[in-house]
Amino acid sequence: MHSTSRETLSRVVSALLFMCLLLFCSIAFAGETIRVSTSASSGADASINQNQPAANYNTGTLTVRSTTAGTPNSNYRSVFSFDLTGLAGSAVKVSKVGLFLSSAPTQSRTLNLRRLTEPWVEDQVSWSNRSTSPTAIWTNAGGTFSTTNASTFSTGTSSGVTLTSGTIRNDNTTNFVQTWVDNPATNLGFILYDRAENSNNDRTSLFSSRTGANPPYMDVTVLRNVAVGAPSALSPSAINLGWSFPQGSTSANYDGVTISIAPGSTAPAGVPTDGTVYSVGQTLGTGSVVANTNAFNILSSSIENGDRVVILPGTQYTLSVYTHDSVMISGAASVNPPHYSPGVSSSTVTTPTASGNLVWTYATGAASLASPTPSGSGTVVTGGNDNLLHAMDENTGARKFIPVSGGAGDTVRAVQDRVTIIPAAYTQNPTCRNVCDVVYVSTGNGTLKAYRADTGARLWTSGTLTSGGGSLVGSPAVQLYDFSDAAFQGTHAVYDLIIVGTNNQGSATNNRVFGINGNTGATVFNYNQAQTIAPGIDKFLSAPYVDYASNSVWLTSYSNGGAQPSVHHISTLLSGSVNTAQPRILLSTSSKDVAGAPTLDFASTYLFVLTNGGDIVAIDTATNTEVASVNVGGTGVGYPMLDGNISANIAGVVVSTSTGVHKRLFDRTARTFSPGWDATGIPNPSVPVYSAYPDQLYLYVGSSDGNLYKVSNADGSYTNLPVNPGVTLGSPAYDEMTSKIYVGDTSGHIYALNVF
Amino acid sequence: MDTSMRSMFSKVVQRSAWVVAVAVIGVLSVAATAATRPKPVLTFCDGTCGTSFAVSTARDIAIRTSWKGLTSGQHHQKTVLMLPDGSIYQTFETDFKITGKQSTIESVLPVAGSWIQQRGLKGNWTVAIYLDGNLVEQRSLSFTD
Repeated sequence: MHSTSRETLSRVVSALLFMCLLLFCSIAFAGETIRVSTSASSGADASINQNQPAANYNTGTLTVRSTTAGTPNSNYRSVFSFDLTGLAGSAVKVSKVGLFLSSAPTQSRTLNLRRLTEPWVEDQVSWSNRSTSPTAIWTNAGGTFSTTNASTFSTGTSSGVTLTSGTIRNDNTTNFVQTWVDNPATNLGFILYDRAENSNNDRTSLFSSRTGANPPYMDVTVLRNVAVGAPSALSPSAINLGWSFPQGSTSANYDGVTISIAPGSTAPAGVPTDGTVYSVGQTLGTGSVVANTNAFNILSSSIENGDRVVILPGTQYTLSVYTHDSVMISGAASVNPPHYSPGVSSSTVTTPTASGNLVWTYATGAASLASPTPSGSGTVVTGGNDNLLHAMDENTGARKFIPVSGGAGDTVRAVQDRVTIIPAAYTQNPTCRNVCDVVYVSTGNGTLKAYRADTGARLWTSGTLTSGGGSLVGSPAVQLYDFSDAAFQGTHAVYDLIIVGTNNQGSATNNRVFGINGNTGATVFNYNQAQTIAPGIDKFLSAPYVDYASNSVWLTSYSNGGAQPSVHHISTLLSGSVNTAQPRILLSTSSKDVAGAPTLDFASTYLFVLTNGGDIVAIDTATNTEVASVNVGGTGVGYPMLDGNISANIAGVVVSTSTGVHKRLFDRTARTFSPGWDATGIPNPSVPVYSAYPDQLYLYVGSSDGNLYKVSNADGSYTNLPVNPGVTLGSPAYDEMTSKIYVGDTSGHIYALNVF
Repeated sequence: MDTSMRSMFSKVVQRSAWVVAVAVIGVLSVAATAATRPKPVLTFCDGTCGTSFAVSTARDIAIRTSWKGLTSGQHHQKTVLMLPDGSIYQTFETDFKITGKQSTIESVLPVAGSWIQQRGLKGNWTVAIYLDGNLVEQRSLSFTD
């Protein structure tokens, strides 16, 4: 680089550094710095003279004078006060006093600024008396004041300059300016006097008084409260609150608000601690933080029930709102931001008990399209793409436990299929049998996990069952010990068997099926452990289907481009490493990939699968052979649902594809499919779910237009219920015990809806 | 002089100067921060690499974040995938340690058989990369028929 360029660069850098230093000085304040000046109509001030102890000097300049021993007892002091009532409701962080030095002493003096502790009357005060009508003398002649400085002034020797005190935060007592603001009766003002009275001859400083030009002033850095609007209930589980920042303030003063909430008509008490950032869900005084905005232009907040916030139907709430800043305040008790205002309370708001069909909502952190699982004992559990497990009260949506991610050292990762819940009465898990329901979760990090449904406590985590960074996607299937025959119980004493297939990465031939001990998470069998079962197994993405009658389980998989079987029939009496093939089926359909789970009919005679290409395939379970198929068009979505009410010989099979919801009739004797109905016009339908058994009058389907559709099982006609327009709804769950439908969506919300 | 308390408030005139000061400090601070947080190279690959994939044929998309010039030590990467409407579809979080000069983090986004393919979640997505809590890169990722 040329030397001139280097010099230029050096100068630029120096200038920038200098500017930085200046700017750091300039940004020593945040919040709002409000100047409170005395004037002819505001504040009070006077001088008092030791040599004329009864004289009052409340006109002209304010005098501070030190005399020598040669002219003893001729010191002057000045008293003055500011009207701070306009700052009521503000949080005072720092203050400074400014005085205009109209006439400087010949040598620089240090002047003490202290807090007066006795009241005085401006036009009566003197060295001896605080007032004359009625007569009141100072406890200490010359003014009674704090024993420590609030600040000091160094006068210099130049006249016509404004002197600014150091930061006034306290005088070893409290933030007394805050006390003055909160309780004006305690605001007795300041006294200013020479630190070394009687040490020098006639060192006099004259300051402008409130009746002259450049009167005394106070710069007070405060955070004021917002003007808060009336909260409104958006739904049984959501409240909206609006506010406006203090008049005249800007983004340089405030960067947002913190909001806390408490049930009932009493606003949450407590003030946030300066320097502390509060996260949503954190306790604050008697309330809980429900929002923490970070921009001046955000003027409302929708507060929703969910992971960290509890907003319940039919409940009264009151909120408190605190402004905050994001800049250091030099001299404040907490230099570091954020600093908070004292807080202002809202009026109360009561959420409705329901809104149309909507009973409650629950906000998670990411898309949640898996079908939520009602436990049957008051809890609805679901996972999602936010890597957490969520449990909600089936009646109110209140979280049952703080969402869990698997505990220290591991995470749930995404949960993209429904979780499996085993009731306490049926589980063999020694911790939960007859005590708590057990939740089994397939996780995105390739492990299977078991949790208590009541507390979220993890019971166990399996080893990593996948390879190459693979995941477990499909729900785990469970063969219950209590419901199984002697052959099973003799093999698996005494535990429930959990079955899951892998979604390994890096290969379309290396997948396995695991049997896991439901008590411990230990592996019972590992099918295709050595990956020697030719021609290999492609990925499993769905839940297995257990056939108790034959102690077996059906799984569906991808097909490696049509080269490999995608339907697998595996014994549940296996143990150890299994490297010989169990029955499997290479489908005859053009599309052989199967993403959705298989469905077994009620007699365990036929298995139905839906290929990704929209084929419904019937398989004879006795011979493990494909017996019929029909293509309904579009891309297959999920698994078939069976209608068992048609006749002993006819099974109705309902599936969703990208073109709609379709029903086909399967003749068990002739082994043929015949037309049923097609409900087209439902955009990107989810897996359908039947209404209450045994009638099965309707099917409920999520869609990509934010509607939940109710489809007639008789003819495919449908109606819709708007849930969240514009988003994609997941697969609904129908809770027969509560007559509610639970469904999630891509915005991360879970909804509980009364059946319509 | 009257001691009656009536207030007179005037906002400090120099506030506008402070706004400028804060803005300039912000610029300087961002510049300094950017110097210590280099942008990663972000690629999307499913066999071949690109920024647009068909939901009907894509299997799994590897989201690779390659870091160079990061300070040595422990770091935390968060990858956030956002749907076209801005909703969060999925997040991946990874702790990693820089011991050499570069590091590559790979997160796998399943497509085949996933909600993306099954429910037709097509359109222009956004992939945002956060390093140690700060947004450092944001790119578009498209899913088509």
